[in-house]
Amino acid sequence: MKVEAIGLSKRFGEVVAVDDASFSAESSEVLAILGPSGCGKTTLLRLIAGLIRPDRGVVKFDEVNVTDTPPQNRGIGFVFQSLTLFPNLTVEENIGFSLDAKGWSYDSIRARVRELLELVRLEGLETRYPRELSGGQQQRVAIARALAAETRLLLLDEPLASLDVALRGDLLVEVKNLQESLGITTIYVTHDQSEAFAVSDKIAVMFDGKIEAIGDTFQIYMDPPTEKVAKFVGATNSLTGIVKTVGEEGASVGLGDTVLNVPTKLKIRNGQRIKVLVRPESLLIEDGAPSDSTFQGKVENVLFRGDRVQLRVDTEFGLLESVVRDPSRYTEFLGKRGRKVSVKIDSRSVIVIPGE
Amino acid sequence: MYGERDGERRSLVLRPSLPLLVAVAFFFFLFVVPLSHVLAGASAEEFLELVKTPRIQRIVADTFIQAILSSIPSLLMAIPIAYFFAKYSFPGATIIRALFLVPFFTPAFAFAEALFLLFDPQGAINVILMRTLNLQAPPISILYSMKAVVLAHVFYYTPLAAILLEGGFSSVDQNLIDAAQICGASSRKTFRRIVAHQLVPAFAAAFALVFVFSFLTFSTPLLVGGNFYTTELEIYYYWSKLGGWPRARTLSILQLAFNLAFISLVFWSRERVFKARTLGEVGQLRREKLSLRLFRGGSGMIIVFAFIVLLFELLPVYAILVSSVTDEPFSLLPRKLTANNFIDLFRYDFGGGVSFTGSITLSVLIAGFVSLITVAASLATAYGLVHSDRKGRSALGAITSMPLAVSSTAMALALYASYGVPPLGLYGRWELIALAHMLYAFPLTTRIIESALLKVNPDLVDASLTLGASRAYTFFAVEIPIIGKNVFAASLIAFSSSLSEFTFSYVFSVAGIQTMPVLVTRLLDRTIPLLDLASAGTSIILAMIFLAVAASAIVAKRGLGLAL
Repeated sequence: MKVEAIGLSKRFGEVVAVDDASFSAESSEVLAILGPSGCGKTTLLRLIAGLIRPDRGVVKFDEVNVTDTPPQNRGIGFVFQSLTLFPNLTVEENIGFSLDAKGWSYDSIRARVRELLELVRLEGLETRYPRELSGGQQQRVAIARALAAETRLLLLDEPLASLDVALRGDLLVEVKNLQESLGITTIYVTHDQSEAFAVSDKIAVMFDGKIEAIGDTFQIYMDPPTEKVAKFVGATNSLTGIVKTVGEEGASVGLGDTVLNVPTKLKIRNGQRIKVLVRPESLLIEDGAPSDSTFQGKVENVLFRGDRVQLRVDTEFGLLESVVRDPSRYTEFLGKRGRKVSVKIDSRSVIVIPGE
Repeated sequence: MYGERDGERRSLVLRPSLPLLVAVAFFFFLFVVPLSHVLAGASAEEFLELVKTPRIQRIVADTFIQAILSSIPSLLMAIPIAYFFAKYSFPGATIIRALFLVPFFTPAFAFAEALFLLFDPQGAINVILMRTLNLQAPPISILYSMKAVVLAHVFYYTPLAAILLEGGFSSVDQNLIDAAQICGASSRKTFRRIVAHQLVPAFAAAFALVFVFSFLTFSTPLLVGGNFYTTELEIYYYWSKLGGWPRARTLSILQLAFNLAFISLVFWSRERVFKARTLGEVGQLRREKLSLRLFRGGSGMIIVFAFIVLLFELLPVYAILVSSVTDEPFSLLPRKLTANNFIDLFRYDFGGGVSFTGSITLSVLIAGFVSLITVAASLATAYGLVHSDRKGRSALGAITSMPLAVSSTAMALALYASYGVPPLGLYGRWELIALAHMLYAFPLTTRIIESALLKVNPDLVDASLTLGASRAYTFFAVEIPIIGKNVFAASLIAFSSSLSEFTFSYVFSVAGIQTMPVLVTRLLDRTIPLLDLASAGTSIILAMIFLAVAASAIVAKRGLGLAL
């Protein structure tokens, strides 16, 4: 089913929760709505579900306007952040809830529940109550319940937020597999960029109630359209430079005394100020004297993050963040704390945005 | 805590017209129609003339002073007991809490009776003091004065204030207390700077309610006040003896206006003091197991004081129970126990074929009916309240609590004028007493159910709706099972309040339609009161109330969740 939101707006008192949001998700597509806490992404999802009425705007399912259709008649499945399993009902009753509400026969409900339990690998737990399940099992029941009755659109509101990191990884794969096997159009709300990238075909990035950018997942990551989006998807280092020369494949940019050749298809001209956004993993720390392609910095902090080492380096462009994906080098970097180092930018993955 | 979430969240899906219609119809029939009889025909001239009358001025001032004097000690005594129940867990806590609540549901005459047993010149306390201090005359003489009325009110309303404050203490955010103590704040400073302001809403609610109940007092000053008059008594006397209905009506409007102004002032102050300092949702107070280790230091003093308050509350109940099983009515430690008082009570001829057995049947019938209808109406009302937006909820909450602020005597007459006479002609029938009992049980049961509904996670309702269930299906399949215990607790509270109600039962009693409290009062209201039989009757009422309150407390697990 194709889902369209056209100019959706919602205000709560003085607060504008969603401001003129428009997007579409094609049939069988997974759209992730990504944004920081409080940016309005849950409100947007609730507007799609019909749990909240928009002040302005339209929601369409397969070209049909459903803005005034009550949620129970939209054919949606909704997985809430708090899971919302009915505490007084067993696993079986929770999953069969929507079928019972729709008047299915007892035998049909049982058959469908068995099918769903098998799908989410919870066979044998039919008679348990939610409190008797682990977090991951509860999550699976919530998903099975959302899929139970002729679901045409699956809405997931931070479905993994209440789980521990290890379980989150496993379930993310399961959710993705489940969605692919069923081919249901899915909207997945999250504040976690890695979750959004892992699960989606398309991403909408939201800030302060507005959709700042929307596009193909890979494209949003590799070529974010604004500095805000770039920073949110990981390019946290921002350096201002001047375009020296422009060529077919890219441009030569002056960053202080350093010259950086960056790949870009932007229409830029010589002498223009631009922003160069660099991911921490593209900021390389080297020994040796500075050269044309490096600049100097002083190591301020070294943090061991388990699978990586994170460094903060004070440079003429301000504090920059570097990540080294080799934890065995932690002690080596610890020895460099407070010392001057050469900083090099791996120009292959930088993002260039016109400056102000 | 879900109740703190935006009311709009709950109202967006469906505007519940049917439950609201049921609630409005019930409230209109039960309260608005009779109230219109109170208000109809009142004039400004009559009002001004009444306000200028020196006797009325004095009585209003006396009633106000009495209400303040009753409220402050009730609240002060409730603080340690509320903290005690909120903070400490121990075996039998639910039963002790239920026992502690019994005085609130005790009929007024029962405490009057306890006052006789304890403070009469031959009463147990006077006798003990005379013997201990070797005195010739009884040292305590408080019967038939404002002091006795205030003492009775402190006895009645300390448990009520404690329930409300317990709710306040339980929702104090333990994280904030921990944070304050980690920052080096002493217990005293933590209480003053962190805990106290979080208790403001509960204090405001408790103070407003105890004040209003004390201001509207009728049976207590009637039985133990002597020459001390309250506005409610004056309304009764105007109506029954002095100048007829017009003056009684004007005085009851004055009383209603005074109460509403006072409640508004308290809640306005609460908003001013509290609102600006609240930061989102609050947590829960961490509970501790009661142990001897706690008796050291400040906690020990609180626990000891809480026990003293418990004894204060239970002594009158104990005096009545003991008096019912002995031939020595003034003794607290009788030498011989007997069941004769109960046997004599059931054999006693009240005249006109009225017996105590018959009054038990009648009281239980009325209480059962009241409980059933009131809870059904409260369910519809609470549902409407919870699904209104926040401002609407406050306004509707205040309106549905109004019966508690209106003169019982005036409402009794208004109910009589509305439904006692033809076409309904209910006077002389138990249904009229039941209607009146519903009116006063309704605000309490509505608050209990509303409070429970507010705690239902609204996401559960949304989940049900997105799963294709209708709003009605969701209510019966999701919300009702979750709040079922609270609904049952509310029905038992309605049952208890009906069982012990005195004013309406007294005003509407005719031969053959006399509830247990009315019959016990008849045993006391004689030249020589039949204290032994009255004690037996009161003990039966107290036992029934205790069973109902204990059952509701056990079912609701902790407290009754009154959200006022």
